[in-house]
Amino acid sequence: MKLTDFEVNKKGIITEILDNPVASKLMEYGILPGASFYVLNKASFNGPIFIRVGSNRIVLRRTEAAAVIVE
Amino acid sequence: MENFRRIALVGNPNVGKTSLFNKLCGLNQKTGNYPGVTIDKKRGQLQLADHKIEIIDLPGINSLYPNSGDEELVVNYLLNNSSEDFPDTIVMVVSALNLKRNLYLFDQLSDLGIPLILAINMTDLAEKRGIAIDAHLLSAELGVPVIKISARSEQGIDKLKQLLLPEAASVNKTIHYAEEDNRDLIHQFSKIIHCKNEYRAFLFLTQEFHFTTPELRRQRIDFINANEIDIRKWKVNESILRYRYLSAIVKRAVVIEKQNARDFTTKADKVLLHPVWGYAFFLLILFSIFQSVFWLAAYPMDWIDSAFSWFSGLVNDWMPEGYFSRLVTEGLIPGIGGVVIFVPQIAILFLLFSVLEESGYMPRIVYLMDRLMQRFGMSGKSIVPLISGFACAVPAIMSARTIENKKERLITILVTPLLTCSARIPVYVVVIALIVPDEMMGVFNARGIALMALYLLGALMAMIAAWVFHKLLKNEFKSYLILEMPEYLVPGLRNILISVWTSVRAFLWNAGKIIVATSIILFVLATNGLDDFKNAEKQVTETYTQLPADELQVLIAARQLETSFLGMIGRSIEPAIRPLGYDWKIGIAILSSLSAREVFVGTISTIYSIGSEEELKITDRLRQEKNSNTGLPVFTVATCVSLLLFYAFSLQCLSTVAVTYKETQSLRWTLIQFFYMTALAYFAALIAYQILS
Repeated sequence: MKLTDFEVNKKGIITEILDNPVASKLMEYGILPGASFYVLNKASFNGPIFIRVGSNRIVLRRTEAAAVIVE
Repeated sequence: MENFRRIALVGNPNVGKTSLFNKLCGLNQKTGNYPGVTIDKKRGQLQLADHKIEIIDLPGINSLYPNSGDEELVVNYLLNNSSEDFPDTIVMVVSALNLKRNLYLFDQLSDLGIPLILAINMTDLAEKRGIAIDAHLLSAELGVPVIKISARSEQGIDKLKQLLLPEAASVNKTIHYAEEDNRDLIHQFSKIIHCKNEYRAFLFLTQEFHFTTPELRRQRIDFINANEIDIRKWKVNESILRYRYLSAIVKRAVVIEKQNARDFTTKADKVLLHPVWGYAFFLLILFSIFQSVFWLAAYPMDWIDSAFSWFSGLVNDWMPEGYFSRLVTEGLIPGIGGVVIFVPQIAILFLLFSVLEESGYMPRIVYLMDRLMQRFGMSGKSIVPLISGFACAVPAIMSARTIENKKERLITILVTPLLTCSARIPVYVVVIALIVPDEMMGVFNARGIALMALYLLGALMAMIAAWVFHKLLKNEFKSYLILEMPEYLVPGLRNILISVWTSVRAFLWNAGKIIVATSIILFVLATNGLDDFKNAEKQVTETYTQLPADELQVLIAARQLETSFLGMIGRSIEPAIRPLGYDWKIGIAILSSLSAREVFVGTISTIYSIGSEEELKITDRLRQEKNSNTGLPVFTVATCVSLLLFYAFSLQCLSTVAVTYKETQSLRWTLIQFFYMTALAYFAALIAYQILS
């Protein structure tokens, strides 16, 4: 399942980052396969997604989030 | 010679580098010449025993792979180890609240072989939340001195200072950021480009920097092709391997007691990022900023105004009659007073902005606004330049560097000067006072509402202009947004005061030097002229023989001003500005404020006080002003509205033009920005005046 389809206030685990131009950028921020995360908020009107990975709070647009496979 | 050392503060954004910088250097710092956010290197000095220590504060970076202009500046600085400016030691500042993530950059830096000290900031906050960090263990694992500090309180600062003196050793680690099979390739490449440090070679191999030389560029491409290297995979592996290495260390060095964990930030975000309340709160904040700029500042402004009138009268009595004395009382004092009076408003504006910055709320606005801004061809990150554009367009345009995408950045730069900067406040306040009564409308001050309306107008026009540029420009690269959200923090009073102080000082200094120069030039031009000017007194006396002496004096003064060099210039441009409802005196004020808007008020005060005996407040003086041909007041509603619109849209700021050129590196876009804004200003003023008069 893609991160974009994940519900707010739910915990999950990142399983894979699809190959894309910002994949290495996502990983620098700690969005790595195997990391657990929590969806804090989704901005209205298809805005960005706000997640927490470890103690790190990260915001990413839906286009980037679509490359993050989670469960 | 004195012992000299240079220390650079490096770290992720929002870890408190600037707090630490302020703590170490106090007011002993050289900041940019512009008020507001700093996006460049900052330098400060610190005297320790017999050592002189220069501290350099760098903008926050996420990794050694820069994506935006500000990050590139830092990475360029850190890689340029042959530069004179290269630091002896780096103090890497990390947040105790987000240690693993922040150590990522530390790990990259330590592979570069620069001597490092690790300063773990916000340890007091972390302890309250039940996060215990074993500094000794970290120090042993990482091979560098580790010190726990709190830049807000004094904790650990003295110890850190002591660590700055001895030579810090650099770390020699084996490569742990690449898979074993690739290590040999890194070694080979470092031999090819004659680079002793293998991680430097790795960085030059995996990315092309702005400053990569053509030779290195060719070597890089050849090497990648010859060995079929998948760069993207190498970068991904670097992240995975580093985090694996750091996780193991952090797991041992950090103990978190869950029951103590209080998470204010998550709770606050529930409200502040709420789909309805979040936006309502954002609007409320903007609204309260503009209201308080108006009414909070009213009292100190009155005091300053009276003080200057009083001072001018005093100087007038004290100084001997003469040309020089007139230059001071009719030229310099009103000119300077015209600007000093706005210090309270500007100080309040900067105070509120730095509270917003310090609290960690700014990135939340980015999050809330990203989707909306994308429709206008900008990024959520454009919000930071746009909001700081309310203070000053110069640092605002510089802060657009944080926007990675070229098109989004360009549009942000082009429209930022449309937002109401602090230099427009003097013009707005004086003109609004002429046409809006000082009354309350409900709980709000009517003038405050008028000012608010102008702010909204600027913002609206910025969005319209952005939308037009968005439709006209093509996007070359895909844009993205990945952003870290800091914890909410109570703003540090010391940081805020230092920021207000440096901003106000920069405002006064920049405006001051132009205003002193222009008021002297204007005064000289206004008090000299050709034959007409010299004969003015005789002519008036002969024409109006019946008038009493004091009225005659006023007429003579008016006639002299009209026939002076300044009057000649003014009247020659009058045809161009008459359709906007301006007389030649306003024309002169606009001309003289071409380089800086706030000069308008200084010029107007200088022009109208020349030949006037009374010490009046500026608005009273303007209200009395009559057109010499028609006998009607000069500042009618139509003229004032036209003036307000002109100043809302025109780009009368040399510094902005210069910074746009510097940031875009394009004469074309600099000219486009200047001309589209000037045209907008002229026609908006024209239409408004023609409709209203």
